[in-house]
Amino acid sequence: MAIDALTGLSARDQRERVAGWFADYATPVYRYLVRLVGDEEGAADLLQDTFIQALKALGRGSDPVNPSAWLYRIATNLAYNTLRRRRRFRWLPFLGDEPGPGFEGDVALAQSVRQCLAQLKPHEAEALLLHEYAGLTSGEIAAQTNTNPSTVRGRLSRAYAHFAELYQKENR
Amino acid sequence: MECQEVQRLLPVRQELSHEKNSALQAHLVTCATCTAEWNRIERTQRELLRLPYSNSQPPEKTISAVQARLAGRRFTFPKILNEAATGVFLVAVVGLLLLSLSSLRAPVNPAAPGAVVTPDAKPIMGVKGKVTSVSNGTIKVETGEGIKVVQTNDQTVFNWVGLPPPLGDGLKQNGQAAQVSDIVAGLSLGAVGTLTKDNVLVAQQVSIALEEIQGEATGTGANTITLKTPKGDQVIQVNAQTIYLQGKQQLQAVVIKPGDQIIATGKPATAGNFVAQVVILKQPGVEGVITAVNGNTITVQDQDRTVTVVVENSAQVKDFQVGRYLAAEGTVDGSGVLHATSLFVTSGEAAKSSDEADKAVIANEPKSKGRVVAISNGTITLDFGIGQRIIQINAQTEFRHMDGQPAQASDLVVGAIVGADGTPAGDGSLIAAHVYIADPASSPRSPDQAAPGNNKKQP
Repeated sequence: MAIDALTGLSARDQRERVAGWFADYATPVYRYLVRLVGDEEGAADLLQDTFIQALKALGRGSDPVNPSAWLYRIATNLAYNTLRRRRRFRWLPFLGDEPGPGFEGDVALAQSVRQCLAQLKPHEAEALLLHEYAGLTSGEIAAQTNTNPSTVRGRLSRAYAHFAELYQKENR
Repeated sequence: MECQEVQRLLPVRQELSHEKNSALQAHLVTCATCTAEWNRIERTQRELLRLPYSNSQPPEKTISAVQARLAGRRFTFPKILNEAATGVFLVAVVGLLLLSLSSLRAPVNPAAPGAVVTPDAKPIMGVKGKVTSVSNGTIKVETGEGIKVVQTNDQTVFNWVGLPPPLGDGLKQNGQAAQVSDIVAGLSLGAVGTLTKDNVLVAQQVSIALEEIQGEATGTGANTITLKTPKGDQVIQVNAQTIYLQGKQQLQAVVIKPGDQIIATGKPATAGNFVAQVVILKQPGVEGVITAVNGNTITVQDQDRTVTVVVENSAQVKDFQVGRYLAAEGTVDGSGVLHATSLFVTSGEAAKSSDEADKAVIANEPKSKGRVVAISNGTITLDFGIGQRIIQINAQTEFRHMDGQPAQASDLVVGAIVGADGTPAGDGSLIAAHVYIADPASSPRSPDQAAPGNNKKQP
């Protein structure tokens, strides 16, 4: 059986490893994805993609020290790309010049948060999503993204500022 | 600590050591810019929480599809060729067999193995407008772009929205449960959901607007209040469930007197009377110059009356000096004395707590008013009595008088009393979305009684 030169794992070992991660992390990663993309069907597809990509990455020589953070990072980027591809939500204008009460229901507000997240720069979005929703520390994010914690903190700081600006514009 | 370092650390405060957090805290106390930044991050984190948590489990079909794949029951062809080339031909044959098996066992994922599946989620759309007709869960809504059709079903969530703060703050997210039968022609509603090919909005959520009636009480009955409104006299009903508010305070025993200014909110009367869920009594208040201070009793000269204001929090009393401008809201007792529940006073006093000044503006309350002490190109400086803040004005900034009437940038004069809301800028200033001008000199009510600031600063 072919042995991967970098990880020393056979293809079968790789599959078994990912299968083990799937048993451990499928549910939390799935819930994370549902939260980010907002629909269960889409999240289920992304869950599948996450583990397929993980398997492929192992095949290319990746050897994650922190598999949970590593899987969250793959899931994050898939979710971010999905959000970016979505067409924009829009309100149809309210009748006439009536001020109209606030109709900011849960669905609309969550949707507007997702739209703003999708407009962040990739590095900012990645840091923000991993920090806010996956609960990773700046050190953990740095380890996953081959950078240092200080850079991640800078990205986070810019991401918050950028998000606040977008959200304000969106919900004025 | 430098501001730049502080601002980098703010998003990851919970990761920091106790010492570093203390240093950060010490910096925040003295730095308005970083405090504004911290407020903004906290607010952003609250907004991010609007994405609801999920408790659901991955669907069975996804689990079995992934497990099948990871059990090696699917190979991509290049890989089989590759392994065959290295001499592991038998494995490939077994793999092919399993592949055919897996297509029987796990036929649920139609995507090619390894292909990135891109869910094509339907975009969420929104409609808001007035209901023109309802029939069998199908609602026609008149919007600015014509009549739109909204289809509701078993999954649709209905709620009432539009209760005033502070009650409305909590309800904005949860709403008050409603049902499809509550919807009748004439109501205002908002619906969000997905569009079908025929442009019908299949609603996930429908928010129905509560109706608001504003006016002056002219009389009361056993369970009714008659209000004089711009549309004529309207009788509203109250019952044991009606909540009475004054400012943010809930009132227990209420006697409505003729002349009281009232805002009533309730479910629209489809037939018969409007039943108020909430009745707000506009809070008595005073704005004027302090003419005397005696302990915690302050005399304020309003435009046409002298009001005695009692300040309950005596720690604030030293800020009140004769000649300063004071605005207060509160409750009036039997002898006409205003017991202040919220107030502000202008002064040139050094900032005692810059973050309070920040909160005053950022809280988006038109009540947080300051006095204009300087105007330059594109900025105004407001004095809040507890500190000053620079407000940036741009082409998007809207100017209004406190009564809501449109105002002009030219109405801004040094000495004017002004409230503002907008976005905090990185340097601690505020980029104003709205500027509310309460300058008595430009108010139509009493042109001859200008604010003291005006008298001093304007020749």
